[in-house]
Amino acid sequence: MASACVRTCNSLKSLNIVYPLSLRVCNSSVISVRWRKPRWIPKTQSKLFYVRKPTPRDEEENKMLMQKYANYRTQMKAIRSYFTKFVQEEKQARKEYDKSVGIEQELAEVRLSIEVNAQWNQESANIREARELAEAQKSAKIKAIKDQKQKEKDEEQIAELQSRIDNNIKFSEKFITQENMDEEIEKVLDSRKDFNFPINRKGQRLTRGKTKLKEDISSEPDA
Amino acid sequence: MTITRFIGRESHFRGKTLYEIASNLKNFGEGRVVTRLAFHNRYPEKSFYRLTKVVPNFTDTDLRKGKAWGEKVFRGDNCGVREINSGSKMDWKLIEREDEEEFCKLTEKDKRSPTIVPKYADYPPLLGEWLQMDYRRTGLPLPKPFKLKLKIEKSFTNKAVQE
Repeated sequence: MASACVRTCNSLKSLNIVYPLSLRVCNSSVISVRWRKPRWIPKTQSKLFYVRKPTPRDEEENKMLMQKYANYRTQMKAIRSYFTKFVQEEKQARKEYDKSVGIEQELAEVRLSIEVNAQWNQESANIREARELAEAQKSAKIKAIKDQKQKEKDEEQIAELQSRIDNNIKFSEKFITQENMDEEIEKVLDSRKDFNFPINRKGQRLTRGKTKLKEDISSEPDA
Repeated sequence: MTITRFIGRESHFRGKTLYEIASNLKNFGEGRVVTRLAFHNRYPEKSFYRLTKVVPNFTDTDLRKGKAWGEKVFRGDNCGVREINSGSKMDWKLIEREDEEEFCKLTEKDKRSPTIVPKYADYPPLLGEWLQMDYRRTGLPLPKPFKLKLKIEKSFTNKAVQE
């Protein structure tokens, strides 16, 4: 708070403004120590019987000041009474005006203003409705495009799934069932499988006896 | 030996209450002249009361309560018989019978001269300017004199004369 006051003082100083006394005494070196003590702590021993001597007054100056203050109060009272009189007169005039023509005229004005207001409302409503219609059309168009795209996507998905199902159905013909189990067992037992063969780095099978060495490739005559 | 020491601010009041004085007098001081220290301190002119009726309240042990009436002479002007409202103040003083005649004699010096106060004052600058503009706007003639009328309260304490 104090720092804020000081800041204002400084800013006022820079503007060369005559600022009030209350601001002038507000600087950081003046710190209020009021309410430092709790109420139940008694007065200090040294200040127990201390009574401040009343500030001496210059009699002549005091008289002059009192006179000035009385004059000031008289003038203020006069101004206040002038204002009250002024306001009362205004009120009275207003009342009389209302009685004679004021209310009729005012009502006519109100009616006119209501009409104008309704007209403005209609205009703005027209604009609003046109805008809303355009917006609705646009959004409907966008929705149709989106729906179409979604439909296509769905159809694609369904077709893919259908193809997978078909494949599975086709594959299921080769399944071993209860009926053809013996046949299949016989078939497996009859057939021979030999997994003793080499493969290259790519996992391709190299047939036995057909592998060609580098020397053979180089010695081969051109076809 | 006990030492008495007064503490606190010095009092303005030196004396007794009106009822304290009156209760010691015959007929509660009817017809006697009393005055206050406050009158003496505040005004150069003479002010006093000639008591007509005093009714002290004896239920109050400090004798600060009661009712009193008297013929009031305030700053040299006779205000007639009035009720005294400041009987409880402790600054009343009784004028002795021998001194009464001399004390109550009112010379030309003891009467206060009326303060002369102007009837009108200038408007505050901005208000005056604004009013002039307003009159010009409405087309009404300026009132004469174009000044603020002062109201002076008139009572027995304020005898100002407007010129």
